[in-house]
Amino acid sequence: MKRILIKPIEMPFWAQDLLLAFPRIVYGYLLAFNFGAAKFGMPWSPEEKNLNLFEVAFWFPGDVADFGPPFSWFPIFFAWMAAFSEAVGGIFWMIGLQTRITSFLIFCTMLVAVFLQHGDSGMWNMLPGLGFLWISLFYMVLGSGRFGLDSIIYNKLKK
Amino acid sequence: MKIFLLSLSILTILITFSSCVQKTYDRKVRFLIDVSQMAPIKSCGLRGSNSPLSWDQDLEMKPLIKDSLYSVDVTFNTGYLGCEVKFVVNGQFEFQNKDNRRIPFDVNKDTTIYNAVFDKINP
Repeated sequence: MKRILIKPIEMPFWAQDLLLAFPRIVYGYLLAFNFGAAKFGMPWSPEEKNLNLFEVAFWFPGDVADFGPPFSWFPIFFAWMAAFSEAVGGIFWMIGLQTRITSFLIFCTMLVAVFLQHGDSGMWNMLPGLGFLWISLFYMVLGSGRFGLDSIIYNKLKK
Repeated sequence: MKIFLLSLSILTILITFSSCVQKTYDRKVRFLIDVSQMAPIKSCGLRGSNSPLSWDQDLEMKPLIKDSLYSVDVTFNTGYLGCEVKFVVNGQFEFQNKDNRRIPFDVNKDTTIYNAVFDKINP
């Protein structure tokens, strides 16, 4: 099971793997250092946000609770998970570690963000979240490809 | 299965033992704006990113000196160390297509006093 989750699908040529790694790295960076770090305490979170390590921004559980059940039943848990998926998941995406699990968490987060948070605010506002959503679908299937830690770990476990 | 249980345990520990949600405090700010260059003044308001402010509607500012100096007190319940605002006079935003004013809270005082001149960057 462990191996299946991290086993990357490799393309016939390494250049194709390299090309497919670009969106993962760029979107991972955006999640970890921009979207995620603004609402989840990371060492590089903006100073004015005043977030301690692994702390979720004060306004986020309230926003999550507004989505209704089941989110309103456990707003802190869902807010923490969503923020964690973005900020820490972004790092995991960048380095290609546990790519499929990370992609699943980001997929769930973006599904909620796109259809519950921005569902009423028009297609234009849904587009950023949709971008992450589609990207996460691809990496749930492909894994990290050749250029990720999953590939190195898988090859070590295989020996 | 082992990995799943281990991940779940780590996650539970992280959520339980990390402080989870940022603490909030009441931060009171007195905004004072010199609008003498815009006289006569029909309306003077404040917009911003943190509740009770919003970017969609003005929080009305009251005249201390008519057509010259306007003021409003705002109490933010926030975890942040500052807020972002723009003043709106006679329905016109200051700093159009430019950055918002960033106002750091003075955590050592009960009330942060912020003096500004409409559409002018504070030195």
